Amino acid sequence: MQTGTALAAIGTTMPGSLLSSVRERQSEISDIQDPAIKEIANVALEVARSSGASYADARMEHNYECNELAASSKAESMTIGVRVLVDGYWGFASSPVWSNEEAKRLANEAVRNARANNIGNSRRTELAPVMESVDQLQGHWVTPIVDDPFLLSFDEMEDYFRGVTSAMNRLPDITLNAKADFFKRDKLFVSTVGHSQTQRQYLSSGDFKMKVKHHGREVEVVLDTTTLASAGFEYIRGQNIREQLLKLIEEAKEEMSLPMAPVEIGRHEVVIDANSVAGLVCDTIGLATELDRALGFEANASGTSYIVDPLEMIGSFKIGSPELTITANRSEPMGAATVKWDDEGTMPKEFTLVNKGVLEDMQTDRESAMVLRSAYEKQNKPMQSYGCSFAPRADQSQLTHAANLKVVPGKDGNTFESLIAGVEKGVVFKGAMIDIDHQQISGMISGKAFEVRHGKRVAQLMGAGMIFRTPELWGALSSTGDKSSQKRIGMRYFKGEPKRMSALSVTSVPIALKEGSVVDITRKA
Amino acid sequence: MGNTNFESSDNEFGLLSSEQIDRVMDKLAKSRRLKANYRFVVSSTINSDIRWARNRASMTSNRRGVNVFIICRIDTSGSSILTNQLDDVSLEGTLREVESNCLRGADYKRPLDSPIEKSFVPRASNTVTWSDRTLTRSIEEAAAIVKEATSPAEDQGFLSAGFIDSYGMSMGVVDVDQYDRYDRNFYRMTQAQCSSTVRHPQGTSSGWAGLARYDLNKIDEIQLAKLAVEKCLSSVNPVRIEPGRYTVILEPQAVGELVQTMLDSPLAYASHRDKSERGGPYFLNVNRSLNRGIAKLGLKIVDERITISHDPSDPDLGILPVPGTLPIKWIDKGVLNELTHSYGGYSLSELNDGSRRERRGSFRMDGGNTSIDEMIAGTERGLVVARFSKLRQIDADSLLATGVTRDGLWLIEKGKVSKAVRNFRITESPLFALNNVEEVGAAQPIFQPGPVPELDYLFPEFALTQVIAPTLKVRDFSFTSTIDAI
Repeated sequence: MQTGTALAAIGTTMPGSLLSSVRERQSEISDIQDPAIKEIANVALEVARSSGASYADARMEHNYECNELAASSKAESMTIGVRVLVDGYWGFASSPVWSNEEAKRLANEAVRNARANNIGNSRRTELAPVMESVDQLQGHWVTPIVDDPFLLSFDEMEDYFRGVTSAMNRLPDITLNAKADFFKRDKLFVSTVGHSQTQRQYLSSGDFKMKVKHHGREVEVVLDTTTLASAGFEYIRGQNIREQLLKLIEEAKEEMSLPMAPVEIGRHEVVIDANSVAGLVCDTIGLATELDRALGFEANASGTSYIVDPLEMIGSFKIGSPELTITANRSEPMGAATVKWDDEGTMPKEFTLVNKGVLEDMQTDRESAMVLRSAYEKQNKPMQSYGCSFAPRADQSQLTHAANLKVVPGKDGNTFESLIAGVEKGVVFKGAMIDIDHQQISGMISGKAFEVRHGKRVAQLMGAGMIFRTPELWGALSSTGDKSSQKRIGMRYFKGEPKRMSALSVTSVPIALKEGSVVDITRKA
Repeated sequence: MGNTNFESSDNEFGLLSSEQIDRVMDKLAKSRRLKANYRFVVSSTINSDIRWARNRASMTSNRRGVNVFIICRIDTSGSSILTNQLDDVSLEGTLREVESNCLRGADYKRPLDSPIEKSFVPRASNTVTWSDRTLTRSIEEAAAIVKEATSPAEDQGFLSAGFIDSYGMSMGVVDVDQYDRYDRNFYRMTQAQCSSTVRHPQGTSSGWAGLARYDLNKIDEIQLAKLAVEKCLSSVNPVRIEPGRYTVILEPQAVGELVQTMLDSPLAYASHRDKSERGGPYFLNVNRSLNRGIAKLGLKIVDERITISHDPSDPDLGILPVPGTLPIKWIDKGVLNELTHSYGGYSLSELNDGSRRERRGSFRMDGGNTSIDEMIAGTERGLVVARFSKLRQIDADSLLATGVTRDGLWLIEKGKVSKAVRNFRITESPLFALNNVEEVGAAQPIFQPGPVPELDYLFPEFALTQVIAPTLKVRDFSFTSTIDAI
C-alpha cells in the first residue's frame, strides 16, 4: 500500500470506472491489518512522544453502515484520531485523512491542544496500570458471525425483508414495516505503552414494527428479539421471525380484547416485563455507575449520579433488595458492547456492579479507575481499568460508556406469567419507556399497562405510569425472573459534548415489586 | 491520493472553499450515468473545543470532517450513500454504487426536491450565519478563557464543568434532474457555544448558564461562568415543597425548551420527515387524519402576546438561505397562522398558495417589557424556573409534556425570592402555559446549539439553530412530583 488514504491504493490495482459497488471496492481496500496503515498511526505516536507527550494513543477506523433495507441507504467513513497526555492534560485531534503527513499534523495539534491548558493550574492524571501481558497487547479479533451483511448479496437480504413484509401485510388488519441496520467497524489501536490491536466489529439490528387493528382499536407492536447485537445477518434470518410476529399479533389482539380502565392511583404490587426492566437497569444502574459521570465529568451534559461519593459508597451503599445482583461485561456473545479490547487497549473484565443489593463497583477507564485506588486496596482488588473506554468513531475522543449489563436471574419457575399469577391486585407494565432525571434517581415508567386481579390481567389501563426513586424501586424487588425468562435487549444512549451515541446490551428478566407508586401520567397537578 | 483537496492550502479556516466544493460536485455531476434525479451534498466541518470538569480541562480537541452525500432517485426507487473520501476513485465508486442500488429498486422514502420545483421557491439572501471571529480564536486563547471561567467556581469551593466549542461548516448542494436542470447552492456557517454547570462538591446545589450564537463575539464566557456560580450559590440548601400548581416565572431558557416540545425538534423532524404529511406527532404539522392543527388554523390558540416566527433576515436568528426559506409567523398574536407543509401539502385548500412552509431549527418568540424583577415583585407566591431537562411530549392531542426542572428553582413569597427548592417533575402542555401568560419579559437568545453533526449533510436547514425566547410569567403551571436530582 502507498501512503495516503487506503482508498488511494485501489487506483493502482483497478480502474475506477469498472468499480460498480463498495462490495467490490472493499476487497481491494487494504485490510485494517495492513502494516502500512499501522505505520501511519505509529508516525503519530512518534511525533507525540518527541513533542513531550507522556502517553499517546492513535486510532484509525474504517466503518461501513447499511440502513433501512439493504440497498437504500449506505455510509462509509475513514477516520483517524490521536489522543495525547501532556503535563496531565489531554489533547485530541482527528480528521478523515489517512496519511503520514496528516498523522504528524494531528499529533502536533493534539500536543498543542493539551499544552494550551498548562497555564498555571496543575492537573494530575494517572492511568491505571496495564494488566495485559505483552502478547495480549497485540493481535487481531473479529466478532464471530456467520453471514457478513456486507458480503451477502443485497438482493438476498432485501428479498428476505420483502418476504416477511409481504407475508404479514397479506393478513387482514396488519401493517408491518420492516427495516434493518448493519454496521461493520474495522479498528486499529496503537499506544505508547505498546498496544497494537486491530478489531473488526459487526453490529446488526432488525426493526419490525406492526400496526395491529382489532375491535376498532389499533396498536403498534415492536418485535424485541432483534434489537442491536454483535452479529451478522444470521441474527435475523436465523430466527423464525414470522412465527414471532404471529405470536405478537395474537398477544396484541388478546390485550385489545380487554376493557380499557382508568388508573387507580396509589401503591400497588407491580410486575414489569424483561424489556422494560432492561431500560430500567440501563438508566438506574448502568449510567449511574459510569464513574466519570459520578465524578461530575458529565455534569454539564446528560448529568451526574446519585452515587455522589463513589469511594465512600462502594461496598456499603444499598441500591436494592438482596434479590438484586447486576454484573457488567464486554465479552458476552452478541452483546452490543462486546469487544476484545476497549478503545484504550484494555481487555475488559467481567465484574459485579451490584451484589445482593449493595453497590460493589463502578464502570471505569484507565484514568477514572485510579480514583478508586483506596477502595480497591481495602477490598484487595487489583488496581485496573474495567475496559469501559469507548468512542463511536476514531474522529471522536474516548469516554467511559456503559458495558453490557446482566441481571442475575432468580429462582427457577419465575416467569413473566408466573409473576403475574402471583399478584392478587396490582399493575403490569410491558414494553414501557423510562423517563429519568439528570441524577438517575427519580424516574417514571410508562407505556402499556394492565390491571391484575387474582393473578390475571383484567383491563388495560389508560395513561398508567409508576414514579420511583432508584433505591426504593430496587428495594421493593420481591422476585426476579428465571433463566428461561431472560431477554437480551440491545440499546443506545447519548452522552458527552458534543453528544455521541454508544450501544450496550442488557440481559434482563421480568421482575415483581412488593409495591410501586402508580400514577396517571397524563394527569396534571 | 485521497482527500488531497482537503489538505490543500488555499482553504479558509481549514474548511473547503466554494471552489473546492464545486470541483467535487462538478466531478460527480459529470459522471452521472442515469436519467434520474440526483442530489449531491459536499460539506466540510471543523470543530475546536475544550471540555472541562472539576475546574480543569478534561479534553481539548480539534476535529475536521468532510462528507459527500449522494441521493439518486427514479420515481419512487432511490438510494442514498455517504462517504468521507474525496479522491476520484472513491467518488466514482460511490456514485456507481448509489446508481446501481437505485436501479435495483431500493425503496427510498425521503423526499427529493427537483431543481424545477426549487427554481420557483424564493430564497433568502441576506441571512447572517457566518463570523470569522468564531474560527480565528486560538486554542491558547480558549484555554485561557476556560481557566478564567473556572476560577470563580474554584474560589467558592465549587466544581465547574463546561464546554466551549467553535464550529464551522461549508457546504455545497447540487440538485440535477433527468433533463440536466441544475440547482446549485453554497452555504457556510459558524457556531460558537459556551455552557457551564457549577455544583457544590457534595452535590447539594447546582447552577447553569449557556449560550450558543453564530458569532463568538456575541458570547461573554466569563459572564456566563459567573452567572452559573451565582445560580449555584443561590441554590444552596434547597427545601422540599409540595407539588401542585404554581404561578411560575419561566426564564427564557425554560420557555424555549417548553415551546420546543410542541414544534418539531430538528432531530425528530429528520427521522419523521417522510411522515410529515401524514401527521407526525407535532402540533405545527399539517395533520389530516386527526385534524389537529388544521381545525385550529386561523383561530386564537394562545395568549395574544405570543408570536412565534422565523425570518431569514433576522440578524439574531441565523437561518441558512435554503430555497423555500420564507419569513413565516407560525403563531401571530396568539392566532395559529401557518402549519408546516412541503410541496405536497398544498393540495390542502386552506394552504393552497403553491409554496411550502417548512420549519427551520430556529425560531423567535416576541418579547415584552416587564423585567424579571418586576415579575417577582408582583408575585405573592410562585416559583422561578431556570431551565428544564429531558422534556418530551406524552400526549399529541393535548400537547402534554413531561420533564424535570434543573439547575435553579426558587420560591417567591410576598414579592421576593425566599429560598431555593428541590426540583420537580412537570406535567404540562405548552399550549396551556401559553394561554395562561400573565407577563412577558424581554426576548433573548438562549442555548440551543445545532443538532447532532450527522444532520448537517442531510438537512442543511437544521444545521444552524438559534432560539430567541422571552421570560414569561405564567399562572397555574403544573408540578406533579418532587424529584431527588439536584
